[in-house]
Amino acid sequence: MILTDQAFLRLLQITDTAFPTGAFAHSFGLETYVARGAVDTPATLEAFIANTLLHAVAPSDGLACIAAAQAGPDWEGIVQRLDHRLTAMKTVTEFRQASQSLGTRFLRTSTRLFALPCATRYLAAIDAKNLHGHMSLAYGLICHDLALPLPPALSAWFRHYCACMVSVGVRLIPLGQTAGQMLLARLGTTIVTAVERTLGQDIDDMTSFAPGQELAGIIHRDVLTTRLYIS
Amino acid sequence: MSWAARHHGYLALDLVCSDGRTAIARQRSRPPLQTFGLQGADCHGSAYLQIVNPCGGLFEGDSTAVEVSLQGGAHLYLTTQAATKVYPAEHGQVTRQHIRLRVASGAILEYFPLPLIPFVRALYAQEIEIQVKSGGVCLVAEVLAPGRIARGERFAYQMVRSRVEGWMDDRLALFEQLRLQPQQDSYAGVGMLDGQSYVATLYVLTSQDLDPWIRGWNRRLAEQHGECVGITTLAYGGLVVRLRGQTGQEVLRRLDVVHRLIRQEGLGLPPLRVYRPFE
Repeated sequence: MILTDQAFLRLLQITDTAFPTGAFAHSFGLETYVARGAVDTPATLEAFIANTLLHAVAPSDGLACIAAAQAGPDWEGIVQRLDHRLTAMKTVTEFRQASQSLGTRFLRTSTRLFALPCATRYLAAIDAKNLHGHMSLAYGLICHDLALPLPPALSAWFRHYCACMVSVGVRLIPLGQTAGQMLLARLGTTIVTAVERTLGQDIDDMTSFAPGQELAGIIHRDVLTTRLYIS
Repeated sequence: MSWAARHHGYLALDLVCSDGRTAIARQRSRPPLQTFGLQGADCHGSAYLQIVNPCGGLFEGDSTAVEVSLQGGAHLYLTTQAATKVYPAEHGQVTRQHIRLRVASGAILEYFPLPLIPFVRALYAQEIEIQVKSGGVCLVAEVLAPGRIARGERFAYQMVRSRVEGWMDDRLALFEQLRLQPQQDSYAGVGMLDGQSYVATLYVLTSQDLDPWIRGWNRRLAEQHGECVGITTLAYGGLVVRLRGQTGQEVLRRLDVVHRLIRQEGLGLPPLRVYRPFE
């Protein structure tokens, strides 16, 4: 599949950090790390983002996204199974709710902009409360509907995750905007690695291991007394 | 080929409630897996049982299966006699363990094996399938050591893969899978182990609503153990507890603290009177 000029522009639009999904309201545990002083420099912020991308986001949500994007005529059965699996896999309440909230908002906005038959049906199943609606499946189906080739689509999505996390770090630590952009540039190598690893995996290989991030998500909801982010 | 026949070692246990006490209705086993006599675990009819492996560990290419089924009213605390040691895989063959737990309505199963210790070059894959009927309770703990610390083996294994699937009636309530390959990746950093060495998880599958307890428990645990213990609620009820520690004793004690909280305050169960090596 070739990335046409039109598809390229659409990819830029849906992975723009200004696209209204609500992603900027989530820190996915990073706020706890900053509050505890464990993330307080560009280097520690980079480590948090790289570790969580490589060991949690890419091998779970990344694989779900690929499965949705590549699904054939039986796509609804595959998406249904993965929707339930992701709900069972996202054990931290705030992360699970974030995935559902971002996925649903992403679908609602995107389906108003483009003709997205599969994404529209997924949204209808979510609205009917038959499915939960996860961000990775929403993004995968939109890539499918827009005929976006996977490697660049996955790179753009992982970059979006990194950009959102850098933005959280810039605001909370705080760091300068230039330091944030330098960090995002350095994360390019990690993003490429994450895409390469994810593309070579089978959907049955979905894994996630970021115990520190999960504990931080739990503490964020129940223990932190001051919170700027939802997760 | 049947599920049992695919494995070298096999242990199947069916437990029932008989005259107010938990009893083994049927036991089948194939070496090396055995059990060590059923004992009372409290004064309310629950039982305590150890799984014994006289080989002292699992060798390269070994494949074992444990299948435990509890009928209504039965209550079992199941553990292992010793830590599960996984020996080096010199020829690239994976050591496998498959565990199936079935809990009927009104039954309680607590599966607390001692830590898994993967030796240098070990290759290990484990699958745990949990099926709980509404009204039943199943607690499953996993403790993963970084290796034989005293011999200087820390994250020297080739691979540990673990998959846990938990079903409440016909609904997938829990899905967890990890694959650790410390020769390729480091897990020590920020967002991962944060410098800790041991990692443990406690899964609690139940239809009882424990959510009102969670925030208070987490605050108490944070005061006592910092950011090394946290409890979260699953989408369809039930809990997952994440734990980390610098030593095996530390993480086992933390696991014991949270286990007592959940049993006694959340589930309203009496204290266990069983031997635990970290007390």
